[in-house]
Order: sequence, then C-alpha cells, then structure tokens
Amino acid sequence: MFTSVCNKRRWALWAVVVVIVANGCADPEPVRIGFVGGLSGRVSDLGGPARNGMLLAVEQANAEGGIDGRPIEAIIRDDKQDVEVARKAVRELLDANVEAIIGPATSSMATSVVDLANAAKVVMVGATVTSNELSIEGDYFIRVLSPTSVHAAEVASFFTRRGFSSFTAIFDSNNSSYTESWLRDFSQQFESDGGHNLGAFAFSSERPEDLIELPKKALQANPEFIVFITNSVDAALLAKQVRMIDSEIQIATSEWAGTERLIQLGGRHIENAYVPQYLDRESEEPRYLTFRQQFKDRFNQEPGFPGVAGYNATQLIITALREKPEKQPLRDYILERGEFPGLQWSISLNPSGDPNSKTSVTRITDGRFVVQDDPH
Amino acid sequence: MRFRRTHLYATEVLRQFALVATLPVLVTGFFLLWYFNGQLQRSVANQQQALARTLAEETQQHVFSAGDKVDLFVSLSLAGAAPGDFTARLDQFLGSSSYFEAIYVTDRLGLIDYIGLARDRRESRELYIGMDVSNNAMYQAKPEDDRTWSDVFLSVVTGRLSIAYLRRIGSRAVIAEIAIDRLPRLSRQLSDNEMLVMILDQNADIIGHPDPDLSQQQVNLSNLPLFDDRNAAGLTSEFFELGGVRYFGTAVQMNNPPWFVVVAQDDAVFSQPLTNAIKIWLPAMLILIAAALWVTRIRARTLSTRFSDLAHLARNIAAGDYSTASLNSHILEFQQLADNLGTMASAIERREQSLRLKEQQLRNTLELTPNVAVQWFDDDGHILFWNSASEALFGHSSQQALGKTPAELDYLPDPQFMIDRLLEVTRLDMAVGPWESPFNMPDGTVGMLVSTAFAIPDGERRHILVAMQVDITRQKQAEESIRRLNAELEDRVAHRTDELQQRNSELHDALRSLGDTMEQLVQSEKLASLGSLVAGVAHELNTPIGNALIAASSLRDFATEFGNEVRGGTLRRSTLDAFVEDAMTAAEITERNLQRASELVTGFKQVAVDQSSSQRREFALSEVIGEILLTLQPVLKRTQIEVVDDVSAEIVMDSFPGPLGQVLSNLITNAVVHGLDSTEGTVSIKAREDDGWVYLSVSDDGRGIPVDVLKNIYDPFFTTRLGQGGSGLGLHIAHQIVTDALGGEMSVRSELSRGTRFDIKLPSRSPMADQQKMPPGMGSGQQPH
Repeated sequence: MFTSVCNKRRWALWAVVVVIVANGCADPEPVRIGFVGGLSGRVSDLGGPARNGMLLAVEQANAEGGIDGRPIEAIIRDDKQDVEVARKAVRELLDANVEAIIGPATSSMATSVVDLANAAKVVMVGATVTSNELSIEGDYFIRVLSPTSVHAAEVASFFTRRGFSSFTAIFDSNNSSYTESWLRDFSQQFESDGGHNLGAFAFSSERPEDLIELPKKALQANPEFIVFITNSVDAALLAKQVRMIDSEIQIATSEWAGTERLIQLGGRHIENAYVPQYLDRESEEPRYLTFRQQFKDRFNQEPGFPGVAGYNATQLIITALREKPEKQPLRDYILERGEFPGLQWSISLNPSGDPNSKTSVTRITDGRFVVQDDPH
Repeated sequence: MRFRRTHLYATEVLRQFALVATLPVLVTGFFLLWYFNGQLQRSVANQQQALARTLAEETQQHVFSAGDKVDLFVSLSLAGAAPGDFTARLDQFLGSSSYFEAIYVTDRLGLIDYIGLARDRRESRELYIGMDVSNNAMYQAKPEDDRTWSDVFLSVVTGRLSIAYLRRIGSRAVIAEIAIDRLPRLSRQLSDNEMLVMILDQNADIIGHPDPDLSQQQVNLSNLPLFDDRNAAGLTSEFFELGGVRYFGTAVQMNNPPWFVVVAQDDAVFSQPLTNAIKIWLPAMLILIAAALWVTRIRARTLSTRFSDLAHLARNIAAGDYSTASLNSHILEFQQLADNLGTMASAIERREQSLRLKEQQLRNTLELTPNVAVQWFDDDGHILFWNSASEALFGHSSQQALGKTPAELDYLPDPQFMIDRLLEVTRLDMAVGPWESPFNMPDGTVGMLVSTAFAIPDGERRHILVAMQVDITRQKQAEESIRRLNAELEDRVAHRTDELQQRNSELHDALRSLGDTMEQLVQSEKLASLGSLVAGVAHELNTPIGNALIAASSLRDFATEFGNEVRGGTLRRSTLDAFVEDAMTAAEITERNLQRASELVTGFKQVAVDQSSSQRREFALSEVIGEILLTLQPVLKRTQIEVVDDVSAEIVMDSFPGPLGQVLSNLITNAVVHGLDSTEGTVSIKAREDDGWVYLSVSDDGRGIPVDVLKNIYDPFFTTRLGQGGSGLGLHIAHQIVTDALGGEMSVRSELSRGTRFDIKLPSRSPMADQQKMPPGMGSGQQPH
C-alpha cells in the first residue's frame, strides 16, 4: 500500500517534471511598458525618436536580463496627434496592464490623457512634454524635461542678452497646451527684461494654407526677430515664407522644432536661425556619446532631443522598477527617490514630478546645430 | 541505515519497461521532429524566398513603372512646354495618376520652382514654392543616369511618408513624390492569415505592412535576425518576433530601391503540419506504450507471483520452517533459485542443529561448571545468563538474577567496580582481568573472587559481556595459614639452629674432650699395660730379690751368730766351717738370684723399649711372645689358665715388635679375661710362616662371642664389661695396629661355648717405613705423654 502510494507520488512527480520541462521554454510573464506618441505625420519627428529611445532602453535592459528575470515588453501606440486616438491608445495600454507609460510626445496629447493615467494610478512619463499645465503635485504624470516656464524664460534672456528688444511669434494652436505655455513664459521673461512682444499669430497645422499669410502679418509689426512655436515641418515652411518677404530678419524657433528634420526640410531658409535645444548637442559626456552611437547603429538616425528624452524616461522607469521595494507604488518610489541618472545630466525630480533640465541655444550654421556659448 | 524506497517487482519491471519503451519512441520522435522540422523549414524557406523574389520583382516593377511614367511625362509633356505652362502640366500629370502625390521642378539651387498638386492642395501651392530640397539625400546623390529613387522621407507637402523619383534635366530636377500608402495596401493584399508580407526600406523601417498605421510609424526592424547576417544571395530565413507574435520569415532585398520584401509565416501556422503530425503520432504512441505496459504488467505480475513464492519460501526458511515443499517453475533461474533455497534450507538446518548442540554443550558446560560462576550481561549491565555455579556462589537463583544489574542483585560489595570492568571490556574491545575482588557470600561473610571479563559478539553491533569468577576464599585462607606457619617455622628453625649450634659446640667440645679422654684412655691403657708389665716385672723380680734378701738376711744372721761365738770364744771349728759353708751358700743364692733379677731387668728393658718406641727391627717371633707372656705372668698366675706357646723360634720377622707385642698382649688378655673369665682354660698361640707372610693365631676354648656382639668387637669403647674395668679399646687397638701399622689382616672366628680364635696375617717384612704409620697412641716420639 505504502509502495503503491509512493509510486503514485512518483508518477505525479514525473508528470509535474514533464509539464515543467514542456513549459520550460515558455517565457516568464513579461513586464509591460507602454508607449504613446505621435509616430506618424508632421509630429512624428518627436514621437519616432522618442519611441526609438524607449526601444533602445528596453532592448538593452532585456539583454541584461530584464527586470528580476522578467523580460520587458514594449507596447507601442500612435496617437496621431489626435485626442481621441490618444485616449483610445492609453486605454489599450492600461488594459494591457502596463507598469508605466512613456509619452505622449506632445503637451496637447499629454493634457488629454493624463486623467486616464491618474485614474488608473499608472505612472506616465512625458518624454518631450514641457507644458506648465502638467506641473501638478499628486498626479501620476512626471517628465524628464523641465516645463516651459524654465526653458522659455532662459531662451528669452538669451535674446535679451543678444540685444534683441522686440519679436513676433507664430504658434500652432493644435498644440496650444505647449505653444501658449511657451509663448507666455517667453514673453513674460522677454518683456520683464525690457523687450516687446509685437504680436503672436496662431494657426492650425490642419490648414497649411494659413501659413502663407501669417508671416506677412507677423512681419508687418517690424519685429527684430520672429519666433516659430511649431513643429519642424511647419517651422521649415514658415522660414521659407519669411525669407520670401524678408531675407534679413532673425528667425528663431522653440525647442519643439529643434529636430534633424528642421534642417533637412528648412534648407537654406532656416540657416542662422536660433534653435534652443533640450540637450547639449556638443556634450562630451561618455554615456551620451555611447548612447548616440548605439542609437545611430540601431535606427540609422540621430536621436536628437526626443531620442534622449525617450531613452531617459524609459531608463528612469526601468531603474525604478528594478530597485523599488516590492510593495511600494512606482510613483511613490520615483518621487521619494527623486534622483535618477540621465544621459547628459542627472534627472532631479521635484514633488510635481518635474526635473530641472537645461536648455542650450544653437544656431543653424551650414546645416548643423551649433551651440551658442553664451556667457550668463 | 539509509532508508531506501522499495518497489514491487512488477512496478520495477513496469518502470524499466516504460523507460525502455518510451526512450526509443521519444528519441525517434524527437529525431523525426528535428528532421522534418528542418525539412519543413527548408521547404517553407524556399517557398517564401520564391514568393519574396516574385513580390520584390513586382514591387520593383511598380516602382520602375512609376519612374517610367515620370520619364515619359518629362520627355513628352514637360520638355516641350513653356515654363509658364509647367504648373498646369504638373497638375495635369498628378490628376492622371492615382499614386503620385506631388510633382515639382527645382531650380539649380534645389528650390522648388514649380509644383503640381492634387486639386485639394492647390490653395497652399505658394507655401511650397521656394522650398529648399537640396538637403534631401536623394538630391545630393549623383546617379549615373540622372534617375534616382529617394529613401523614405516625410513629405512636406503631404506630411506623410513618401518616396520620390528624381529625374535631372540639366540643372533642374523633376521630383515626383509617391505616398507609400500603396505599399501597405499591397502588403495587405498579399498577406493572409497564414502569410505576412512586409516591405522595408533600406534602413529596415517598415514602409509596407498590412497595418497601414504601422507603415507610417517608421518602425525599424534592423534588429531582427533577418538582417543580421544576410547571405550572399541577399536573402535569409529566420525566426523572429514582431508585435508579440513569433514568425518564420524570409527577407529578400530589391536592387533599386534597395528595399526589403519580407515574407513571414506565423510560427503556429508554419508548424501546423508538424503539429498535426504530432497530434496523431503522440496519442498513437501513447496508446501503444500503454498497451505494451499493460501486457508487461500482466507478465510482471506473473513473475512477481513467482518471486513472492520464492520470497515466501525464503521467509519460511528464515522462520525456521525447512520443510516447505520446493517450487516448480518452467523458468530455469527460478527453478535453480528454488532448488538452491531448498539446499540452503537443509544446510541451514544442519548447521542450526550443530549450533544448537554446540550451544547446548556450551550451556551445559557453563551451567554445570561447578566452580566457575559465569554471568552474561548486556551493554546496559543487565544479567542475561546466570549459571548454577553463580547461584551456589552468590545465593541468588537464576530466576532472581535475570534482567537485574549487579547493583540490584547486591552480591558484590562494590557493584560499580564490576560495571566499570565490563565498560572497560566494551571500550577496549579486549578481555579484562583476572582481578580479585570481594563478594557477599550467602552466609553473610565476605568471600574473595578472582574474575575475568570479556565480550562475545551478539548480532551486528551488540555484545554479550561475560564475567567469570572462581571462589578463592579457601585458597586465600590456606595461603594465609601457610604464610603464618612459614613465619613460625622460620622462627623455630632459627631457634633450632641456635640450639643446634650450641649443641654442636657442646658436641664439638665433647668430641674434643672425648678425643682427650680417648687419648687419656689410650695412655691409661698404655699405662695399664705398662702397669701390668711393671707388676709382672715386680713380681718376677720379687722372687730373686726376695731370695737374695733372704740369703743376705740369713747370712747376716749367720754372721751375727758367728761373731758372737768369736767374741764369746766359743768358736769351734765346726762352727767356722758351718759358717763358711752357710756364707758360701748364701752368697751363691744371692748371686744367682741377683743374676736372675738382672736378666729380668734386661728383658723388661727390651719390652719397654719396644713398647714405647715402636722401632723396627729384625726379631724372632718367639722371643717377643716369650717376653709378652713374661709380662702377663702376674695375671696368669692368679688363674688356672695354661698358655700354650707353640711358636717356632725360627720365625723371624722384620717388623715392629712393640706394636706386635701390644697386639699379642691385648689378644691374650682378651682371651684370658673375656673368653675364659680369668678362671681356667687354655690359650693357644700358634704361628707359621708361608711365603713372606706370617700366620699367627691366638685362640681360647672359652665361651665364645655371641654373633650380635661379634660384629662390634673392633668398635672403640665397645665392651661387655662396662664398669668392670674394661676400657673397650683392646680389640680396637689390636685391629688398628694389625691393619694400619703392620700392614696385615685380622679375622675372628668364634663359636659359643667352644671358643674364639683370632687369626692374624702379617708380612714377614713390613712394607711400612720405619715409624711410618703408627696407630694412635702407639707412636713414641710424636705422642705427647
């Protein structure tokens, strides 16, 4: 009797072993991280490299064994710079039980979906989102770039220091969350430094024909420089339009347009434009240089600031998931820890989840972004 | 002992068989799987490659045909038109084509001069005029035939991913943009549930995917293994994962543009035939194995029964039942095993009997050994065996003793000592003892034991500890008394030794005084001899001297009478004559007697000299006998004893006359005194000479010597007349002188009431040197007198 019981146990054991072996090849449950951003269309020069930055971070982490032996699965969604698409994408990600969401890439999308993340208590790391609107304590939105209140003010001071005293602006009302925020901060700082805002002109990128007349209006005020708070494609088109009217006036953009695509599309018209950057394009930081090379090898493109931001955002999440205590919510751990490594400088988060990143102003010279060494 | 799981034989066989049956099935199964999987992969890869090539060519044809269309337009429509007509012609061209999104003409700097747009975009035409396209890689390329296909890029005009065909005409260029929306459509058409067709640009960005959204996202697949190690033919087949789905796919690269066509199959679909085959094969195999196992199980159970029977048989043997009938099996090994078990059983039975016998013998021996108490103990000191000698010795019956410890049984004053010895045996693994120890005797006294202890093995790890004792109480007591006796004896011996020493010293003194006495006796004997000699001489001299004295006194009387007469004058002649005659006679008598006295003195002198000096000389035996007899006259005169001297005067000897005289004197005296009691009888002295030897005999006809006395007659101080004046030395001295001093022999013969005869055999010439060896007391100069 005893023997037969033993044997039954033995067989059961064998059966279990067989099942384990059979399933041994099956991967453990992956850790899912979502991405949402504009991957197609005119804003894809933000979302594309940001997604690629995220993929690179995930691929590297998986090569190192994932998170506690679990592989990381990246779930990618294109918001097409459309509120409804974005909300649907975020819901899908939340349904897939993602640990965190990287994105969106633009402020207008971020403000449209952040409530979903808050409701689901899932951390959302806005890679390239800089609107002031999102600096809210207690929400689940954090980011790896400072809000416009920091950047735009710095850029304004730059122009003041360069002796400019008046400007007009053209901004994209489709991404008003960012563009208006930026314009306001820029204008405030510029005017407080004694400069003048001679007018700001909005357009909708859905109606490109509007871009034909706007520069004329903007130039009529005879500003010393004109600022485009737009994406790179629109900035290139606007630059051409401005140059058709005025070949001398100083052109500037906000950081949004500061991607490689701006130079490719803008051609000679965008030469000498001042373009602020969320990254130091001439950084000698070894981590950055390594990353940049890896990025180019993998995707055959420059990472630009979206690539760096996407990578930094993903690294932040992976680091937090790896190192946080098991029971502690991810957001609490991130905010409590506050300090995370970044490619060019460390990301130091305040209670609102905002870091204090830097802006460096470049000037497009011979088809390259050249950092303006500016004595503060 | 390590615990090992046991199985039924049937189970074991079943398991072994299951292993044996399953292993080949699995091995062949996996081999077939591997083989067919490889085959399948190759076959699928070939199919995919063929399809991909076809698609690549088709796509290329599409692209080329688009290019051809642009070329045709340029040469037929644009080349001959005035620049003012360019915009219209370009618009017209776009309207005639479904897939061109924009077409423009650049100036020599790369700025757009003219642009043709779809109808809905013409409002913003001005926006694009003047755009600089010189930064586009396509524009910068220097193709051999002025025709270039661009990479995928984001069209400023459409805001969508596009490719462009560039045709240079002099310093100008005509560029026609094609939205790649058509590629997803193509992909979708070609793909179905089982097949995924993708078109990738040279960066491996997806530009054609059944999902049109994905086609616009510039999803880069350069990390897929498909693009890792492209083989020489520009195509490769690999497994890869995309969007959480595992595919087996093949990539083929086009020539111009150098795009990729990827044809892939969902792994699940791809493996379908194999999965189907396994689905059929696996249950079939399982059923077969199960059937085989079932048969094996039945067979194994049959065998198992045999084993059980054998086990039962073995168990019976183990239980001591050797009579179990043997087993019949058609399997040789079983039969042999059963037979061997039977043989083993009888062997065991024999050995057991022998063992039982031996054990009984041992038990009996141990039990009945009268003097040796034997106990067995277990390792904890409990008694296992208690023989009858133990019962007798310690007063506890075997029943009382078994299972108890020495302490509980209380037969030893110090039970712990015994326990310690037993522990020592266990610890040292060797015999301990013998040792002596006290024990409580049944009568309450304490006895003494001599014990040994040792271990005998009992089973695998345990011992039986054996103690054996012998009662040595009596021995001890005996030893004690012997020891005491010894001590006393030593005292006594010492005491006796002292006494003996004292006695010895006394004896020594006595001996010395005896010697002295003997010497004195010898001297006194000698003196007695001399005395008798002197008495004899005095006696002999008495007569002549008396006669002479009488004659002299008679003469004096005669003379006085004569004088008186003379003075009285009455002298007469007759008186004178008578007087003269009387005087003469008196003188004569006096002379004669004095002569006689002189002779006697001379004779005595010779005897005395011989006797006292023991000088050797030549002498006539008869003379010596005469002299001796003369000296014995005073003795003989008082008796009626006649001494017959029958010795020839011719026998002359050269020897020691003194000692010989002594011998004769002593023998004659002995015959007179002892043989004849000094009364009457005859003593005969005879001698003859023969061949240098003189045979001398002294015999009497007296009463003889009793036999028991005869053997002691030569012992010193032996006398039958003790206290009557006999010294007991006469015959001793005579014998000594004859044998020692004179070199002769002496024998006695005696017959009661008939007489005794001493025979002496002497050499005529003594071999002894002068005074060489004298009997004690016989020497003249050496003996102190």
